[in-house]
Amino acid sequence: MGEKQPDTKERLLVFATLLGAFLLVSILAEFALRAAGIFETYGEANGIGYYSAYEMWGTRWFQKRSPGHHEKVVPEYTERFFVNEHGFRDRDWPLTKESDEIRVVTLGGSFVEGVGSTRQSWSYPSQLSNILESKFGHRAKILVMNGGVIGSDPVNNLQALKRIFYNYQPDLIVQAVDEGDWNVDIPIRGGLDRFNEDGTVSPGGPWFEPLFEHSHLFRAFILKMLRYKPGILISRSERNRRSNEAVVEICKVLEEQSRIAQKLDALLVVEMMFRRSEIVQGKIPSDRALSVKECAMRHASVVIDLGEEFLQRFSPEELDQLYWPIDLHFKPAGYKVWAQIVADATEPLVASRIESLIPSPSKADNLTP
Amino acid sequence: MTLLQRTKSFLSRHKKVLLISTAVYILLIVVLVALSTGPQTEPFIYQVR
Repeated sequence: MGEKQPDTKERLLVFATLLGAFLLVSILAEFALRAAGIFETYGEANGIGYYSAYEMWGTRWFQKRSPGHHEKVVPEYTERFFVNEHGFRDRDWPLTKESDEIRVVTLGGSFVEGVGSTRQSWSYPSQLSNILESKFGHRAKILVMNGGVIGSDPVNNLQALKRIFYNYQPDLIVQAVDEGDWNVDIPIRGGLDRFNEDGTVSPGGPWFEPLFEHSHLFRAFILKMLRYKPGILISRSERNRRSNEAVVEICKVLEEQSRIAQKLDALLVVEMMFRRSEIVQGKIPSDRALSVKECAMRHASVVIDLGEEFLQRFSPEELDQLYWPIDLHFKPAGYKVWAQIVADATEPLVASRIESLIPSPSKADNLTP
Repeated sequence: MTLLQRTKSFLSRHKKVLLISTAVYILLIVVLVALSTGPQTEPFIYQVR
C-alpha cells in the first residue's frame, strides 16, 4: 500500500509552518546583524540614527542651521558652536563693507562647516581667517565667512551665494566640490531645476526606504542581491546615468558662480575635495572628478586639488590620522592643514586685491607727481 | 488526539521538508551577508559597515 499523499489543507499547513520558521530565522538574523553592527549606517554608528539621503530637513534654497548656540555630542567628541542669523556656523557679519576690507566666502558641505573641528575657531574658514589676518592684517581687514553647511551641494551653495553672500560683496568665492556631489546629492535631488517655487525640494525616496531604514536583513538583500548602492538606493546603471548628468550640472553651477564673481569684481576659487578612502587606498581620481576639475579650470581663477596637496605633505598612513575614525570628518589638525593649503593658494589673489584697494606706500609714492 | 499530539504527528510527518527548507534559508542568509558589496563609492555618511 503506497504512502498517503497530503491533502490541500495539509499542504497549506506545511507552507504556513515554513513561513513561521523563516520568520523566526529572519528575526534571529536581524538581531544578530544588529548586535554585530553589520550594515550599520554612518548615522547609526555615530548615535544619530538612520540618515536618509532624501531627507532635506525643511530646506528652502539651501541648507541652514537654526540660529543660536548648538552642542553636538557624538561618541568621539563634543562640539559647541554658534549659528548666525543666516543659519551658518559663524558669527554675525556686518553688511557694510569697509574700504580696506577683504571678504572671503567659503562654500561647501560639512567639512567646510567644520564638523569634527570641536571648536568653532578650529574650523578651516576660521583658521584661514587667522592665517590671512596674520599676513595681511597690517594692511587690510580680513573677513572670512563660513558658508558651509552639512548636507549641502554646489547647487545649494549657488543659491546661498545669490541670496545671502552676494549682499556681503565677497572678494573671493571659494567653492568646495567632492564626489558626493555628483555621486549622491545631485543624482537624487536634481540639478539647477530641482526647486519648487518656494525653494523647497521634493525628491522623495524609493518606496522601500522605510524597510531599508528598519531592517538590517533587508539591507543585505538590497545591497548584496540587487547590488543597489547604500544611501542613494537606486540601481547601478541608473546611478551612473544620473551621476554623468550631475557632472554637467556642477559645471553649470561653476559657470554661474564665475558670472556672479565677475559682477562682484570677485575671484572664484574651486577646491577639489577628496574622500579619506580614496587617499588612504591610493586610488586615482575618477573620470568624473577629472571632468569637474577640467570644468573648474575653465571657470575659476584658481583650482586647488586638495588630494594632491595633502599627499605631498603626508603619507597615506599619516593622513589617516587626521580623521576621526568613526565620524570620518577631519580632526582639528586636518582642518589646520587645509586652511594652510588654501591660504598658500589664495595669498597672491588676496595680496593683489589689497594692492588694488590700498597701494603699498612705495608704489603710492611713485604715483605722486 | 490532543493539539499537542496532532502537532507532534504533523512535525514528524514533515520533518524532512521543514528541516531542509529552514536549513537552506539559513544558508541563503549566511551567503547573502558574506557576499561582497564591492567598493562603496558614495560619501561616508551614506555608507554601511
